[in-house]
This record gives sequence, structure tokens and C-alpha cells, in this order.
Amino acid sequence: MLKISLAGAGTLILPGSGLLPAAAQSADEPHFFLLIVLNGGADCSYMFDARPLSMTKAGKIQNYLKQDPAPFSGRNGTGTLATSLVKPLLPFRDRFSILNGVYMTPSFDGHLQNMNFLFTGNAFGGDSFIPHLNLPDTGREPQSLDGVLSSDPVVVTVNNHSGVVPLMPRAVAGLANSLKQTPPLAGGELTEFIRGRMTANATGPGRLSAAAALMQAGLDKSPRVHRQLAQLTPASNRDSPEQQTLALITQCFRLSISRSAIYSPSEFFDVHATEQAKTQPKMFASAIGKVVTLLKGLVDTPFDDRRSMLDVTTVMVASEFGRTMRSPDGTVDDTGTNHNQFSNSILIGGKGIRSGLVIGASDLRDEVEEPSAAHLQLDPLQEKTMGLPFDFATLTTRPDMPAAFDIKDYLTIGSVVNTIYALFGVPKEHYRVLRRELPTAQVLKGLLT
Amino acid sequence: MRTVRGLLRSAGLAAAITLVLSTVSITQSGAQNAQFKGWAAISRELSTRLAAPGASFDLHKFVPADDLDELLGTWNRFGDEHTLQNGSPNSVSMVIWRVALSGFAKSVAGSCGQPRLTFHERFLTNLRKLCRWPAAEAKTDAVLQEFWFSVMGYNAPQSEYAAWREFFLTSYASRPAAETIDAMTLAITMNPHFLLHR
Repeated sequence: MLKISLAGAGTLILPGSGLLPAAAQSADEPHFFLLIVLNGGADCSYMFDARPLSMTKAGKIQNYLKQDPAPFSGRNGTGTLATSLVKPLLPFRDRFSILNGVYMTPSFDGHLQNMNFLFTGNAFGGDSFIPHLNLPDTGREPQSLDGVLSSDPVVVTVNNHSGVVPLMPRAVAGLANSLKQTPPLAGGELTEFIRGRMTANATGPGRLSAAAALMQAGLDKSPRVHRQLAQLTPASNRDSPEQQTLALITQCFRLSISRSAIYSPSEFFDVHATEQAKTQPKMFASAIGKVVTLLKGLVDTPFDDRRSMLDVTTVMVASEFGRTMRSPDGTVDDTGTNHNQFSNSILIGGKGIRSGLVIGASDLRDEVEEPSAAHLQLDPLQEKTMGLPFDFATLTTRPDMPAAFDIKDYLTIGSVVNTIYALFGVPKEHYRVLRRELPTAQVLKGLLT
Repeated sequence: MRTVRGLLRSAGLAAAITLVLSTVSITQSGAQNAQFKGWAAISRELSTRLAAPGASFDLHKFVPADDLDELLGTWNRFGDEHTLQNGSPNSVSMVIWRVALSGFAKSVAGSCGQPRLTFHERFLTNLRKLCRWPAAEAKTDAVLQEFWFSVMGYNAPQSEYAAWREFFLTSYASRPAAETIDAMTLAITMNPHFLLHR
């Protein structure tokens, strides 16, 4: 059995050589955000919310790793079970905290609805939280872009991602070279005429008018973006794709190009079919390896002569939801899994985050644990684990078994996003509510440094 | 749901695609504003309007780097669904459009002598008249309108042509032909009516 203990945490040494001068950043305190999306609904039981093999033997939950997970304790004393797949993350365990039993959408279990909920707080889409981190009223001067998406796109219905721009490492060299050879379109009568036609067409309620307004806004920002993008330098071809991604992201942060970055590993965790489900150990090993590459790169890359990139970046690893313990059909060693919006796991660390904690938990932790009546209300067939009732003051789970479901009792993605909002100083008018008629989701104050 | 290209790249997942399609809907982000047509569509339109019969322009050479055309609006296929991605205007796409269309505009302007692209004869005939700018015969409404419709097509309202014509007859009244045609072409191709889906 893999033994994981706090004492076993690795020590990370920040590089002391090759120091950079203080980076170009107009605000007093640089702060960036990296969101790593595990696409398709990753099964938390393969990482930090694992279940004992005795549950598999009892036919309750598939486990294609076929190993008993190890106890894992946060520095706050809260325990969980972790699989051997997370071993590469252990050197960084003091750099992030684990949120288990995170409740996603109230009613929907579709990918898009839950990805929308992760980004916007609305199953049908809306305004994403990523651009809010770059608002001027956070007290920081906005970066040129709200975010860069440095992997294949995450499909989500959002209104406000015109400033979240796909930018792939492979495009950097050609783009920068070309922009160095072409002056920015700025000033002069021609530019003013081109801009004027955008302005003239931006009035009115139509879709073309809305796009013309975006064109004008983009044109106004383009000279600065042009000069910034021209400074990008491509990573070495010898670097792995994730190292190249990291190089691009850290340059975008350091050059004040972007406030946030979104990266989604290519692994797709939607494993309804048995054969897909059986690939989970391999998929998680691969995706975790990519996450580790990014974390290590953030630690090893200086932001300036005092801080690493991780010192100035808040990092969150999340999927749109977790998964059911198994499919109703077949035997437990020959089954896939479906969607579970009632329990998700999130890793969060970096700037402003109290790290090394385990916060929250999901129920049905062994083959004999009985669900609450609230659980049965939402999941009568007991296919899904569900977050346990949560005490927001102590960041611990509550021992009670609610008779009826009340979302105020649970740790939700709304709380996670509001905590990020609090960290970045986003005005409270943007905070997510638990439901339309309910108050805002509570900030996890104990998670903030 | 998943990233479209990523899924299609994954070998041996045909069954997964079928399964995912049954449970997932793909929607386009940012659907509240019109989207860019994309570089492929713009290239096709320009070829249709300006290239000699049977020829098409290789306009990809004007895009600053491989794959950057994807940032200007690109169609992705997921099973039998097609979605336009990256079609919402932003500062990066405006930079790329500008660089790419500047290259095209310079090619048009540089075609007063030896044509740099395989234009059709009617366009070349009119371009040669325009190449006499700032002479009066280059400034007739017939020449300007022919150039405008050749490049823009018929999707823009008359007011756009009027504004464009007025601007060049005043601000570029005495400038050299190459500079003027370059600017004329860029001004048309950076117009929202040229770049955006209606």
C-alpha cells in the first residue's frame, strides 16, 4: 500500500540563478490565474477522493487500478484516500489544497451544463468568471487579454470570452517574427477611417453591431497587443508540449499580455463504456504528469528576482463534474461510469491560497456507509457519491445526516469561484449566488492566506 | 463533450464519439455577436471575386504563421455537427487580420505593373485605371465603384461605399497610386461588412 504522509512532502527549491529584473507590471502586486481543465468529467476516485478495494469487492465501485488507496492527510488534519496515481503530485502537496465533495449544478448532469456552471454559474451559460479577474475595479490595471487558451478549446457557452484568446505554442515563432516585421496599426488617417467604419457599424442592437463593437475594441487594443506578442519567444522544439505551453503562459503573464490562462490536457475522461473506463489509470497518469510539468515549471520559472511564477499565480485544477461509482449494468470489473454533478474534486494552490489542506469530503466512503435522506432525495439509486454537509466556519464536514437537501449545507463550485473572486478583489456584484432566490455562496475564508 | 480536434485525434475512439454524441450537445461560445467568416471563407470570397477563371489565390501565405488562421474563425467538425470557433473579434484576431490583409493589400497595390496574383481580366483592367491615381481618370465613380464591388461584394450598404469613396478622394487625393490602392484595399477588407457573417 502506498503510504502518504506530510513528512514525505518534497522540498522545492526556487532557482537562485538567472534572475530577472522586476517584470513589467503596472499594478503593485502581480497576480495571475491558471485553470487546468480535466475534460469530460474526471473520476475523483482515481485521485484524492478514492475508495477502498473492499467497496469494489462489494460491487459498489469500479477500480481499474486494482490497488487499495492510501490514507492522505492534510495539514489541517482532514483525511482522505489517495491512489498511487497522485504520487507525482506529492512533491507539490504543500503547494496546493484539495477540495473534495464539491457540488456542481443543482439539477443538470450534462457536460455542457456543468462546464457552463463551472465557468459561469449558470447551466445554460452566461458571463465567465475568467474575465472578471481582469476587471479594472479589482484594483489592478487590466492585462491586454483576459486569458489565453493554450490547448484545444473547452466547449462552454459564454458571453464574455472575446478577451480569452486561443494561443498555441506552435504559433508563437511565426507570429512574433511576422509582427516584428510589421508596424502596429496605430495612428494615422487610414487607421482612423477603418476604426470609424467599425464605430459607425457598432451602433444598434444587431449581432453585426455587437461584433463591430468588438472589432473596434480589439483594434484599439491591437497596437499594444501587437508589440507584446512580437516579444514572445518560442520554446525549444526539444521541450515537451507541456513545457512549451508553460513557456507561453509564463511569457504571457510576465509580458502583461494576459491575466489568466486555461489549459486542458488532451485526455478525455468521459468513460461511459467499459473499455474506456479501463483506460482511466493510464489517462490519469498521463494527465497528472502534465499537471506536474506545469506546476514544476511554475515553481522553477522566476517571475522576477524575488518570486517564482507560482508565487504570483493561483492555480486551479478542475473537471466539470465527477463520475458515478459504476454503471448499473454489468459486473463491477466490467463497467463504465456516468456523470456525477454532486461530487467533484478541485485542486487549488499558488498565490493567496493556504496550501496543504484537505477540505470537504464525499459520502459513501465504504461499503457499509449509508447515505443521508438528502442524498437519497437526489440519488435514490445510490449511484453517485455526494458531498457531505459542510461547515464553512471550520472548513470541515458536518456529522449530521440532513433529512432533506438544502444547497446551503454543501460546498459548491459557487463558493470556490467566490473564493477566487475574493482573492482577486473582484467586486461583490459578480459573486455567485447559490440559487436565484438564495444568497451568495460563502467564501472559503480559511482557504485564503 | 470534449475538445473537438482532440477527440478526433484520439485513435480508436470511434465508439466514444458515438456515445458522446448521444449525451452531449456542442454549442458555440459567444453567440450574441456576429462571428468572423474565417480566413478560409475570406480567401474563397476573394478568389471568387478577383481570380481568373479556374484559378484561386494562395492567400495563406499572408497569414503570419501556420495555424494562426484558426484564430480568425474556423470550422470544426464533431461527428455530423459543425461549429465555428474563434469567430468572435478580439485584439489578437484584429492583429492577425491586419497583418494578413496588409499582405494581400500590398499584393493588389503592387500589381500595377506585373500582377502579383492571378486576377481576372476585368479586375485587372479596372486596377490599371486605378493605378493612374492621383490622375482624374482614376477617381471617377465608375472606377472606384468597380474596385469597391470587386473586393467587397454586395453585402455592404451604399453608405459604406460613400464613406470609403469620400475618404480617399479627400485624404489620399494627391498620394501615390501604390500607397492609395494599398490603403483602399485594406480599408475595404477591414470593414465589418467584409469580415463578418451577416
